[in-house]
Amino acid sequence: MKKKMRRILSFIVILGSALMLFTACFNGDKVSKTENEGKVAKTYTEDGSIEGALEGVELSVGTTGLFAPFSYYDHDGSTLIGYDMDFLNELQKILGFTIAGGTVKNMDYSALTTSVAKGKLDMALAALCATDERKEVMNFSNIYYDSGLIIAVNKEMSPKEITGVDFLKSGNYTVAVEKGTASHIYAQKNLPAESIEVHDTITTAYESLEQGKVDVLIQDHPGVAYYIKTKSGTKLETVGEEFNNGQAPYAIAVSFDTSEEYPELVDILNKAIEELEENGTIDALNSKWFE
Amino acid sequence: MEFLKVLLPMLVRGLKVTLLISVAGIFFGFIIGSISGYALQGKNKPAKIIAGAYIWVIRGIPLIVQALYVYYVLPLLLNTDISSETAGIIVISLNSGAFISEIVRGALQSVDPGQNEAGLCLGLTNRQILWHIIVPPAFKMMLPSLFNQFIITIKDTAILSVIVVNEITKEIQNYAALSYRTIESYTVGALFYLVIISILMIVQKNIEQKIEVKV
Repeated sequence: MKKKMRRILSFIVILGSALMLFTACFNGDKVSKTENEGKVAKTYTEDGSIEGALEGVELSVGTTGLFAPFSYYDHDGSTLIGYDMDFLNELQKILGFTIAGGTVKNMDYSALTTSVAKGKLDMALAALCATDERKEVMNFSNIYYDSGLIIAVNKEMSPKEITGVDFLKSGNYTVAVEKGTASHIYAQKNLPAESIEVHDTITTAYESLEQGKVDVLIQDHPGVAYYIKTKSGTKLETVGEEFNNGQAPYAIAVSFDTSEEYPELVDILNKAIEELEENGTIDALNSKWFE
Repeated sequence: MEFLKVLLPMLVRGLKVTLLISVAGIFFGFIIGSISGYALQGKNKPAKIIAGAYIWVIRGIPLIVQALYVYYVLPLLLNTDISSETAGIIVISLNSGAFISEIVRGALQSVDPGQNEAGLCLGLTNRQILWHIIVPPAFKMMLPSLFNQFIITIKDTAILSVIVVNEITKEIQNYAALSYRTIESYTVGALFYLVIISILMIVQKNIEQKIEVKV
């Protein structure tokens, strides 16, 4: 073998091994948290009262802005609004925590779940489904909104025989899902790989269905219902029943690292959810966002 | 290393699509590039202008925008549907064609004009001169650059992930999204590309050496 060739090959091997070593050593990026000595308030530890239980605690919160009506952008294109944003506000009012950096951080679903899984974010609210796969890498509060997945078809262009999710298991139809969502998880587990089209955001998935580029789309029911209700001239409609209900209701995601730092955090969130249900706040949110 | 059992088959699946689109893209790109390159160095003014305009558009718009345009806009304009793979082949063909034009033009122009005159003296027609005297040495001259373009094309296919083509990059992203293994997925994915392209670079070196020996 020529000398130069040998040098190139050994360089590749060294580079490859170095990167492999790097991967093996680097097990979960631990983010150095800001010195948050603010442990949970005494009032909670002593009486179990949640008023101001997180006073002085700073949490980094993430969302996606990609799921109306839970988390999406207002007409101006830059203000984040939605059920989850109001819900977050209500939680802050009761518990008294502050949001790191003053604003909720925005990213797509795959980035969001990965960030929480790696501890780069403390909490996430974005109509997140508490699936078994996600529970392995992050904690979830109790459910605050019930939901299930549903399939949507193009009224004019999709094959008429598709009346429910079971038809998709044959692999004869193309199915669009949004990357990193519960629909993606469901599709990957239950449908043939060749039939799945994974879109970076739900916007291109909806667009593809409107143009008939795919036969079917899977998404959370509230999101699709909202899209169909508000998109003028849409060709989409939902078919069949809600499915995957055990895996699809919404809960607040909390990273394992944050739970280690504040072991009572998930319990406090759960008590707060309970209180908001009892005092009618959640009903008010439901009426506001779902009429 | 358990995750490799899931990730590697996905990458190989993506590789098949990457190769399909790259080979088809270079093939059609070569046809387009040859016509365009020939027009650029020829005497036909209108042909030169059209070829020039084509290259100007392709070089002036980012590849990712071209891909989105062909996949989302063209179907609406033409009132038909274009699948992801087809759109990918179209985009890659047009894109590589523009760069191959320059390669072809350069190669044709670098053949000694004396060859052309010798052919005319011998009484050959222009077409005969082109096919039997000019093209053979020009083609041999083009091969290294064409192979280089092939390697560039393979990397360009990564952009097609945005129009949902299930090539290597898309498979990396799909795996990363559900496994939460960001570091492992992207590192292995990058190495996967590196190994494939390194093999091609070695092949290219061999071809270049063989050509030098012959000429």
